[in-house]
Amino acid sequence: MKKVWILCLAGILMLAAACGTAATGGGEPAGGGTAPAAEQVLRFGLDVEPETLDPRHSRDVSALRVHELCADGLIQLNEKLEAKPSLAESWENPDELTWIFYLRQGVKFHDGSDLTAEDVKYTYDTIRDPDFGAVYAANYSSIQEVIALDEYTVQFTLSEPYSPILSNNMELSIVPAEADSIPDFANKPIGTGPFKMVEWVKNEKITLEANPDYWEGAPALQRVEFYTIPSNDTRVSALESGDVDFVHTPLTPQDVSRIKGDSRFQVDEMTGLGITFAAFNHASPVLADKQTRVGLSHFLDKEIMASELSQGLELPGQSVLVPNTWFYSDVPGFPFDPEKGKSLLAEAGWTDTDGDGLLDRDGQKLTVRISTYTQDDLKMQYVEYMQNLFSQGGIDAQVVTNEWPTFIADVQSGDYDIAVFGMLNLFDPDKYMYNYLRSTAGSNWGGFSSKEFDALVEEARTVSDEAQRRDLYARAAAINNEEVMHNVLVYQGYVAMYSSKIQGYVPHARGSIRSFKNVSISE
Amino acid sequence: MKRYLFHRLLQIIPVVFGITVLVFFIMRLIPGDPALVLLGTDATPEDLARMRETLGLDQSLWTQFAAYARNALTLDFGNSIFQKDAVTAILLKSFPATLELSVCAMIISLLIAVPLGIAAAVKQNTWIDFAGMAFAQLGTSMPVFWIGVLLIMLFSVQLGWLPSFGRGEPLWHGLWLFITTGSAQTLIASLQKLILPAFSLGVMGAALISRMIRSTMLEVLDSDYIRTARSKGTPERKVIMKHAFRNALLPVVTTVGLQFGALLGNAIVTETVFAWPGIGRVIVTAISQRDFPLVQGGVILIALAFALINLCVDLLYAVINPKIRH
Repeated sequence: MKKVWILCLAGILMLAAACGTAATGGGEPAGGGTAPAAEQVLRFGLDVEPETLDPRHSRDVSALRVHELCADGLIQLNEKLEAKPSLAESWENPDELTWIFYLRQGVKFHDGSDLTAEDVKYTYDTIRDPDFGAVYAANYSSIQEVIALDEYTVQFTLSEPYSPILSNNMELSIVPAEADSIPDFANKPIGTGPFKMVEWVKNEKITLEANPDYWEGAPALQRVEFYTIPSNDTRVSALESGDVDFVHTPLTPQDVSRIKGDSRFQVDEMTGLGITFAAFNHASPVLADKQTRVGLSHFLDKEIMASELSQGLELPGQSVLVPNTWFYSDVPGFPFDPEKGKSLLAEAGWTDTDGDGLLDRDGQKLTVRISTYTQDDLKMQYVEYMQNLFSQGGIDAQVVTNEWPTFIADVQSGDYDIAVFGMLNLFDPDKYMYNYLRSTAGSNWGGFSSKEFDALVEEARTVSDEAQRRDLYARAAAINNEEVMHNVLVYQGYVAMYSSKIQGYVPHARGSIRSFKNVSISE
Repeated sequence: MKRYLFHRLLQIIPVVFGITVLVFFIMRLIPGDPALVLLGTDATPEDLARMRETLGLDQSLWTQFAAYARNALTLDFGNSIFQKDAVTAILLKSFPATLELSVCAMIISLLIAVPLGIAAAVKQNTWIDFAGMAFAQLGTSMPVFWIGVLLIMLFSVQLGWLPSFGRGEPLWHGLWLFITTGSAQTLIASLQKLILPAFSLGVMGAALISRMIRSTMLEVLDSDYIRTARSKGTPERKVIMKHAFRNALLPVVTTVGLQFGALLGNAIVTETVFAWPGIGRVIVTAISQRDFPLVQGGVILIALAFALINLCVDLLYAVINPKIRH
C-alpha cells in the first residue's frame, strides 16, 4: 500500500515536470511563455513586500509604487522634478504662510464617490493627528491647518514659511473622507488612480485592474500584477524566463550587464535621486579635528568605487547636491590624493613614531572604525575598499558590519567613527540637510555644528525663488564638504529593466511608474 | 499508550514556555530599536519616545513579558509592529505554505535516499556505491540557495519548463479539485511551482539520509540473522527489504525526524530564493525589522512544530519495531 502511494506521488511529480509550460507564475504562462495575445497585463517584480497599503501609514518604496497607480496626490513631480497639476488643477500662495489648491472637478474614487475638498482635508488631518500614529507625521509639521474653503478649494495654513511644501508634502495620495470606516482599507485601499485594487495576497501578489473612469482616460493595460521576489538573482531570472515583465533597482551590476546584451529587454540607466555617503563622527576623539577628517578624505578613490565596484551603475560623488536636478551645483569635493592625505595627517600630528607601519599621535594609533549594514552588498564592498585604501596609508582601519537595526542604533547613539549609508528620494535638499546636518537637527548624530550652515539651510526653506534656494544650498553643501560632515562617496544610479514589448514607459530618476497609465504591451 | 501520549504532550508545555522566555529576552537584548526602524532615520527623539510608548517598549522588560505571557495564554500574540495585522493571522496564513514545502521536500528526500542508500549498501564498493556516495557528498556540500539559483537558471531561464518563483494554489486544494472534479490543472500548476523549491530543499536531506541508510544497512546485512535467512534460501529481495531494511529503519526514522526540523530551518533560505510565501520569509523580515511580536510568535510556532514532529517520530518507533512499546 505504501509503495502505491509513493509511486502515485512520484508519478504526479514527474507529470508536473513533464507538463512543462502549462502553468505559471501567478496563473500566467510560465517560463519562456508570453501573456495571451489579447491580454494587456504587466507583471512587476518588487524586491520587498509592502507593509501596508494605507498611504498615510506606508513608508516603503513598494507601497509607494502601488500608490502611484492606485491613487493621486494634489500635485505630481515630473521627470524633471517640477510640480505639475494632478488632483489640483492649479494652486497659489498669496502669502508665505498660505497655499490654496483648486481641485479638479468630476474626479471619482474607485467606489464611485466624488473627490471633494473634504477628502483632502481628511487625508491631511489624519496623517498629522498624533493619535492616528502615522510614521511620517513629523514631515507635515509645518502645516498648521487645512480648511475646505468650498467643495473644490482647499487652503493650507502653515505655521512657518516652508518652501519645499509642494515636493515634500503635496504628492501624498488622497484617501476618501470615510477611509477609516471602510473595512480592510489598509489591505484594499480606495483611491482615484488609473488602476483599482483587486486583491492583495500577502507575500505573493498584488493585483490591480484598469480604472475605466480615470479622469485622464482609461489606461491601455488591463491589469498590473506586483510579485514580491526578495532575491535580486531570482527577480532577474524571472524577467529572463518571462515570469515578470519589469524589474528595477535594487539590482546587481552583473545582472544589469547581462540583460543589457539581451535584445528581448530594454534597460534604462540614469542617475537616481539617492546618495551614498561616509558620515564622519565629529564627536569621535580621532575625528574631532578637521585636518584629520580632510586627510582621510583624500584617501577615498570614488572613481574606482563607481566604475569598478558598482560597474558604472553609480557615479563618483562630489557633494550632497544630486546631478540632473534643479538644485544641482558643481561643489568640489576632495580629490583622491593619498600623498596629500598623508601630509595632511602628518600636519595633524599623525606619524609612524614606533615604526610599526601604523600612524600614531601621543601614543595613540590612528584607528578608524568604518561601519555599514549587511543588507546592502555594494555598501559592504565600499567599506572593504575604504579599509584597503586607509590601510595603505598606515591607518588602522577596522570594518564593522551589522544588520540595519543594529547599525542604525549604533549610529544613533554615536558609537561609530565613519558610517557608510545612504539617502533616497532627494527631490528637495531640505529634508536631508535640515534634518541630518543642522546643529540642532534630531538626526544629527555626528555632532556636526556650523552656525553658518544652519543659517543657510534655515533661510533656504523660507525662500521661494528657486535660483536663490539653489545658491543657498550650494553654499551649505560647500560647508558640508569643507567640514567633512557627510562625505558623499557616490550618486546612486537608477536602473529599470523590462520586456521590449512594453511601450510608452517613461523612466523616472526616483523610480516612479506613474507612466504605466500610458503603457501598452505590443505583440 | 494514551498515558504516554498525554505525558509527552505535557512535556511540550515547558519546552514552549522556555522558548518563549528565550526568544522574548534575546530579541530585546540584541541591539536595535523597532521604533527607529519603523520611523526611519528622519525621526526626532520625541517621535521615537512617543512610538516606544505606543508600542509599550518604555515599560520594564518584566512588565512587558508578563503582559505578553498573559495574552499568549489566550493565543493572542499581539499585532505585527510593521504589518499591523494580528501575528496569529499572519502565521496561520504562512505556516501551511512552509509545511507544504517541507513535507514535499521530505518526500523528495526519501524518494532519492531510500533506493540510493539501499543500492549503495547492497552493491558496496561498486560504481553504484561510489556514485551514490559522491552524490551524498555533493548534496551535503552545496548550499541550499546555490542549488536553488542553479535550478532556476536551468529549468526556468534556459529550458523554460518551470516557473522561477512563487506558489500556486495550496497543494491540498489542487488535490481536492482533482479528486472531486477530475480537473488536474490546478494540481499541476501548484506542483510546477513546488517542484524546484522542494527539490532544492530536499536534496540535502536526501544526501544525509542516504548515507545513514547505507551505513545502517551495511551493519544489518552483516548480522547473523541475515546470513541465516540467506542460508534458508529466502529470496535476496525479501532478505534486503523485509529482514534488513526494516531493521535498519529505526535510526533512519530518527534522522528523518531531525532532518524535518532542519528542513523548517532551511526553508527560510529556500523561501527567499524562490519567493515562497512561507513562515521563513516572514520571520527573516521580522528579525531584520525587530518586529518583536512577529518573531516571537513565529519562533514559538516553529518550536511547537518541531516538538510535535519529534513526538510523531517517537510514536513511529513503536510501529516500526514492535519490541518498543510505550
